[in-house]
Amino acid sequence: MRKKDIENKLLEAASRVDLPSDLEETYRLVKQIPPEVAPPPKKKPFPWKWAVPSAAALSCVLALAIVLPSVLRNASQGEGPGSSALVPPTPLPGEMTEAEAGAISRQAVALFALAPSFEELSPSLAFARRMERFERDEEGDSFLTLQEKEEVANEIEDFIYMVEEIQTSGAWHVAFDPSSSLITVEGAETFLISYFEEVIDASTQLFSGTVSYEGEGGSSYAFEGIIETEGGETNIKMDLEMPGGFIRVEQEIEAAENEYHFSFYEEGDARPYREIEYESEIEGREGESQIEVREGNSTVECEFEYQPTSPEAALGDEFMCEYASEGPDGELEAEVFIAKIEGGHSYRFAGDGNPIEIVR
Amino acid sequence: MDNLSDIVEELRLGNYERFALFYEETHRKVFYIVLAVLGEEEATKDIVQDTYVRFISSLSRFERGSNPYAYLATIARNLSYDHLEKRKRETSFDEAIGTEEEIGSKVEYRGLDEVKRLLEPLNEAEREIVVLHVLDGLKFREIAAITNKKLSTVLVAYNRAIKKMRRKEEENL
Repeated sequence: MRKKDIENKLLEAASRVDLPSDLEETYRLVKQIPPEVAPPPKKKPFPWKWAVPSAAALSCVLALAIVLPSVLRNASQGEGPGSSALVPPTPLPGEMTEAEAGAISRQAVALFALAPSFEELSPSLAFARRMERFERDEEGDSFLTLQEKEEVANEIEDFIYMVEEIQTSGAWHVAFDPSSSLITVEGAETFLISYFEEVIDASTQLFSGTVSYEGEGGSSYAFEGIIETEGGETNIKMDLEMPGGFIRVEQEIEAAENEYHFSFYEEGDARPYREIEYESEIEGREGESQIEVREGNSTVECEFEYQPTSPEAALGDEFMCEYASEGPDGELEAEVFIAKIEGGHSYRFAGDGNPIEIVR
Repeated sequence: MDNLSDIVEELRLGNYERFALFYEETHRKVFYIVLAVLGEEEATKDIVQDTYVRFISSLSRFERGSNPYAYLATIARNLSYDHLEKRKRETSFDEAIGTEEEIGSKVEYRGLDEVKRLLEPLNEAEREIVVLHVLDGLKFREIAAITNKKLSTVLVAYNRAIKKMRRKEEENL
């Protein structure tokens, strides 16, 4: 039984408790309290509710994929809190292993990559949001219009990019010392991750620190979290501080499995306003990667089946995707065969002989 | 979902129309904090009610921009400890004079036994941290601030608590 299992068990048990509301009597008492005299400050709207995802940098809500290149662009523009260079924390002596430090460092960069999307709507859910109610028969896919297929293919292309980025992040070069890591992406872009760490017991450590983009005008974000290692399984929980909230990643790493759960929280809200879940499993020559994004009443999900050549390999030259999108007014499912072409992919929908080509 | 901070700003002005929403969003969490401190459901109903009254009447001390739920949780926790102190004093007095009277309303909560069973291996401090983190969704550093403990102390206690709960569950399998 894992930590998450016991947490979920408690949550489920608590949600089943029949707790009668005492609102009426409480409200009667509360109403008798005189109001505060001072006027409230002007309300600050949630920026992400009205922000228009305009530039390419903003268009990559979901993605490490999209995210990473955009991060590099944004970082060079000096975005993010403390962009005038945070002072790295003074390291404490510790016993963090290279593998643990590497895992933390990769997660710090992943969260850094998601930071620009904190205040934006997720364009990946744009299709789900505006979808009208589709009437489909059992062969639903064949009734998609060309425009719908293009929208689906474009969304899948984003997901492919993200999945490949996550999978190949294992190959990022991590230069490690006891208090910091330097990650080099694609041989050029560099992130410095500095951390405090404190050993709690043989299997648990808590940490805090900063992740900084080392390029021109580099920006920094603070993070904190906990890492547990037990019986070949590593769990990481890390929060990246954002102005007005935070982004949390929870990751479970087992031999052939990898799970990430990103949650975006506004300050003061107990529930996240956006969640991204990624799960990957490789068994022999079969690989499965699933990614799901949820925000409000919209969800989009992609499940890839492929034949990996190595644990860190991308999806390969030919693979399959089951796509599902659900918005407030409709839902859509599609099964797509995908082949790599130069600069992008070719998409062939089940029941349709004409492929659509998407080039990045 | 309406943002709790927005609702709190309206409550400051005496605009209580959205109090019901605030209550519905938070009352289960408040209940579990009180339960975590007391260890039993007796008197929880009254303390939860007092928590909201105290929250509204002390809104002038609530710092704008901070987490309103953390403030509510602090009040609930303080009232629960006040209640424990009061009960201790009254129990000593009752024992001295040979009478014993129940304090607070007795309410039955269907399904609560399972929650109590899961939390049973924990001591009071561990129970409180687990409830604040798992059921109330507070961050460890918020819990550290509420409970006036070091972050590392909270994390150590949390991990110890989860291990105790896990061990107990595995024994029961």
